[in-house]
Amino acid sequence: MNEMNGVSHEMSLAVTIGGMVLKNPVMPASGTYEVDSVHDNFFAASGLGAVVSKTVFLDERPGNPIPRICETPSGMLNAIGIPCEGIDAFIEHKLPRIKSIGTRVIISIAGDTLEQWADIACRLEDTGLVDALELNLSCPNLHNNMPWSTDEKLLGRVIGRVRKAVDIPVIAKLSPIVTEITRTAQAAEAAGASALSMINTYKGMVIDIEKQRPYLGNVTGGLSGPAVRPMALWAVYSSYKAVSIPIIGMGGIDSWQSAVEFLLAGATGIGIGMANFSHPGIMKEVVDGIAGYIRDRGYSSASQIIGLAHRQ
Amino acid sequence: MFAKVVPVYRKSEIVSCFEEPTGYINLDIHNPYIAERALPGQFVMVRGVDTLFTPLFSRPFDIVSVQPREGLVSFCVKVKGLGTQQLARVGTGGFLMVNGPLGNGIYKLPPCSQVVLLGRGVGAAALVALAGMASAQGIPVISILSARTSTQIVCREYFEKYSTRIVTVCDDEPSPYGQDGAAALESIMESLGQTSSVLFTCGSRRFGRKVKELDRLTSIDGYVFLESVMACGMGDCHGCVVPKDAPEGGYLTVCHDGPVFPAREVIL
Repeated sequence: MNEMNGVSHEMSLAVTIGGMVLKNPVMPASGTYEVDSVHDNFFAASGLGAVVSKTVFLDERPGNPIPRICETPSGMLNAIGIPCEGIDAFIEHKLPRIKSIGTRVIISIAGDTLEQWADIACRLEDTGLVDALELNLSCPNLHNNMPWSTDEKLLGRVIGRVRKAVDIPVIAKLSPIVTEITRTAQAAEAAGASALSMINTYKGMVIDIEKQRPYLGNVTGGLSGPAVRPMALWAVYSSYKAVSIPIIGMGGIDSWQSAVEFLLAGATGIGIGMANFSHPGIMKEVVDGIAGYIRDRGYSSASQIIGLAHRQ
Repeated sequence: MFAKVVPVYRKSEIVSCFEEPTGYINLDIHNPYIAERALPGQFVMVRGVDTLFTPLFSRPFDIVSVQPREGLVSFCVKVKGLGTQQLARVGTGGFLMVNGPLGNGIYKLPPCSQVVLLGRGVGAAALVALAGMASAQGIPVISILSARTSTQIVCREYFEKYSTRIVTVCDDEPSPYGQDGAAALESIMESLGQTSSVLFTCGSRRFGRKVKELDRLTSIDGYVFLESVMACGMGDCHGCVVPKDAPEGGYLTVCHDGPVFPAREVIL
């Protein structure tokens, strides 16, 4: 059943997200794992539930000015600004290699206008190589530093437009920079999202006291890493009962134990971000660890533990 | 000239560990995979074994030398902040998590009659393997080593072994070339006249700009080894970029596109 750990055939790690069956819940968070030969020796990427690409835009973009990253207590502040080669070059050069891995392919996309969102979505669907789209509605370093998903109406319009344009599952990646994320989650579901990814980074900053100015070239950045995990976990836990579509949980997951927390909170998928940078073998360890947890407690499938923390 | 090696991420034992000069820890780790494959210019990302994610980022270190037969890899740690203090405390017999070899390595020197190296501080460590490569091919090596104080010259023994000539230029002592490494480089290059030299520098952006200037104004080929704060070291996060010196603009990642660049290709 699971190629990575050789677990018994009675146990399944498979989960279903937007009608798409994944061999296990684990995938990289967008922008944290490149599919190239540099990663070939860490583990077999075919053993992941899915691969999620860096966000693809219509046109080539250079990304933000330097410095772009800063280490903070248990966290990473980044204002990368999502450099991108543009949709044409992505489809020609990167997508075939991602597809060749042999697992589910989720492509993260973003547009500057509603038409761009739809155009990018259609072109990716037309390749026949993409299993699902993740709409990056939530990067705090784009769109005038205010994520699309902080405005429920705008969020609804983008999801609705892409939903109309394509038949493949549409996953909405949400920002935690809102008063009540369950409302955003419900708005995304109402607009036609097949699933939710939560959360993207929290907006923050660091000041260089020698130079007496903001450290990052972009002034503000997005905070990720274990520092945000309790807040991300709460976002997943609170949204689980508020929507009926599956949630891909992410935000500071750095071990199989923290991944299990997210499953128990109600996540169907597990996104690993920052931890891929520090610990290149982490995604395999999380797959194996979830399998061990399920086996040791006598469950037959990963889906049996989803949302268990909500039991009275 | 450049090549990559597919890296591995492995727990590696510290076989030797000593402080020289004060504040700099020289580590030999047992990692046959890296020892057999690493090329001059490549680096490793290192973190503690049982430190969980504190600090969060692994730290990048230039590979100083390798001993393939013994499976040993050497690098030099300037003890500065939380991460490097943690690594310095592990000691001989302890273990580190090591990812490497990373970045583009130099598998072949450009055609030249001599190699001139200009290193500042711990950045000089990045140039040792290159000095060894040139020396093994019988190419003369001039090493200009600069540091804040004469006691802070790193990897001195290696440079003495591989160089045909060593010039040290330190902020705290007079030398025939003054106290500025960039000025020393300029006057040495002038004295060499029209030779087909190749120039490599590491450890100072100011030195990098001098090398870029010489590359532009003379027939000398200049290369810069860049260092940066890095989160991944593998081209995943795009955090460690340097602006491209090209009409179309854009950025290059130090970890994945570098860390060695022709000086004319980057803005320093």
